[in-house]
Amino acid sequence: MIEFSHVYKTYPGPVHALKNIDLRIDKGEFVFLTGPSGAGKTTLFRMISAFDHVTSGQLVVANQELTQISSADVPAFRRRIGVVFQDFKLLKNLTVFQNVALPLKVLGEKEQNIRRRVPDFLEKVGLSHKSDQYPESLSGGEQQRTAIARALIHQPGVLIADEPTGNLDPRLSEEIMDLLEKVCAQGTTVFVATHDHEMVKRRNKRTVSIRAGELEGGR
Amino acid sequence: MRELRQRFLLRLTTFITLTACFTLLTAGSLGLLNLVNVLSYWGEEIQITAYLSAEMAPTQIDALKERIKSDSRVDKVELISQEEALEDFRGQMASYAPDLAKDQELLSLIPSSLQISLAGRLGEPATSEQIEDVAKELRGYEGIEEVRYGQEWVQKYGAFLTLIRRGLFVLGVIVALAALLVVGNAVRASVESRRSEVEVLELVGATSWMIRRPFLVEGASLGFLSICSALIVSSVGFLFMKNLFKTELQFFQLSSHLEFLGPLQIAIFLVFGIGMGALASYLCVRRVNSGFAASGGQG
Repeated sequence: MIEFSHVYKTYPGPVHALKNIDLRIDKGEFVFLTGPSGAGKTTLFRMISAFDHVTSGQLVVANQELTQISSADVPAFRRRIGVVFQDFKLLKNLTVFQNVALPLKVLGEKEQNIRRRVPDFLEKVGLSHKSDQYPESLSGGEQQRTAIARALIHQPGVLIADEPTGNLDPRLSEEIMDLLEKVCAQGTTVFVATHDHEMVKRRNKRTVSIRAGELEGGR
Repeated sequence: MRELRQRFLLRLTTFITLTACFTLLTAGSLGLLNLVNVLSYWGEEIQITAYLSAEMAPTQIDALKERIKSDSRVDKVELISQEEALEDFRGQMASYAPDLAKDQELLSLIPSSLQISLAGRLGEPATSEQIEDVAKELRGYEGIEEVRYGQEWVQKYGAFLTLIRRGLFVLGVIVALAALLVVGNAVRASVESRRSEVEVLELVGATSWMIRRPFLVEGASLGFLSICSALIVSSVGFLFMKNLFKTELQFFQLSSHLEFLGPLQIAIFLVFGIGMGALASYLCVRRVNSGFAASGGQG
């Protein structure tokens, strides 16, 4: 589902952000990506979400070869994946319902379908009772759950989460990880970047480490 | 709240600036249009006035008329008798200098004249030479005391009009550039203030058109509102001037020749305003959705 083959990413300077990345994540897998700050986790995720291009090598995500993707095709690709960030990236002027419905609106879904599907998802993430509230009135954990619901509402095959528990306390972090595991159990490939080693140990999932732009321990 | 207030102020400033720019353009066009009208009115026919001696008998006048008419350069000749000239003079002076209109000694000095129209159009170089040639010949005819023609300054006025047209074109280019800058600045600020929204839209796979459309609409709306306001301001100014020519400046007898922009010209201005607004927005937002969103992670 996600495959890096001899991927390099070099910025002007030169700055070698990623070096010879070989990584394969199969469909339905749950994988942690760990590493210290500046190791290349976010750069890796920017490649996966097509916010940046590899300098060399090959990258395939959800059956899309991203090395040669044109900017016109990028929006359609992003509609096939889900992305969650540490800072949630919710729209303050939209309610929880409207935030979660956003990908469906972008897809051009009819209003009645949106009204049917969004409540289901809010139910799954435990936010039905917060549907009409704005992000400002939610806790950190609730905001992140809203972001996760938005990332999954269009049923992507891949969910990438860049430090999803970075701004949360341990209790809420566990809640979020439970939710992500539940999502993975339903068939979605989940790739989570984190520097919380304790949590990674507790979860006992496949873990890939990155340091100074290189993977430790191979694929 | 502060951000909303700042955005409102920016939009208001942009609207006012743009309206001022467009008003320059519409007022300039209106001025040019009416200068052309006035020029056409004043110089519609190229005329020479030959003032006749008071001693000329009607038969002599008729013979002179025929002689002048036989000249191929002449289109028509019209006699303005002393009585007709007196009536015309009284009519013009009645409201300004009513005493003059009753001064018999003065009135007796007003001669009859021949209005000679040449067969040419204003602005053609050859015609000004013809005027001078014909006037020179007329001065030699018996019975003609004086020959006058105002075409010298009318043709200079034509050159002046050409200068105005060119100036208006340059002004149009400057206004277009100013509009692009002003609207672009406002849209850029709008994009920045809605950066987080744009990032999220990019994230969920919105197409470039979906993301850019609100900004294009914003720019086009700004352009539309500004050009409409400019047309309203220009029309108020026009009505004021027309009223002025009807009252204080009635002597020039121009008010009936003044006209506002026609439907086609108004439509062109509307398209120009909307187009400038949309173009400025497009130039600002064309890079949106090309990696505009930046991940906030540590990496």
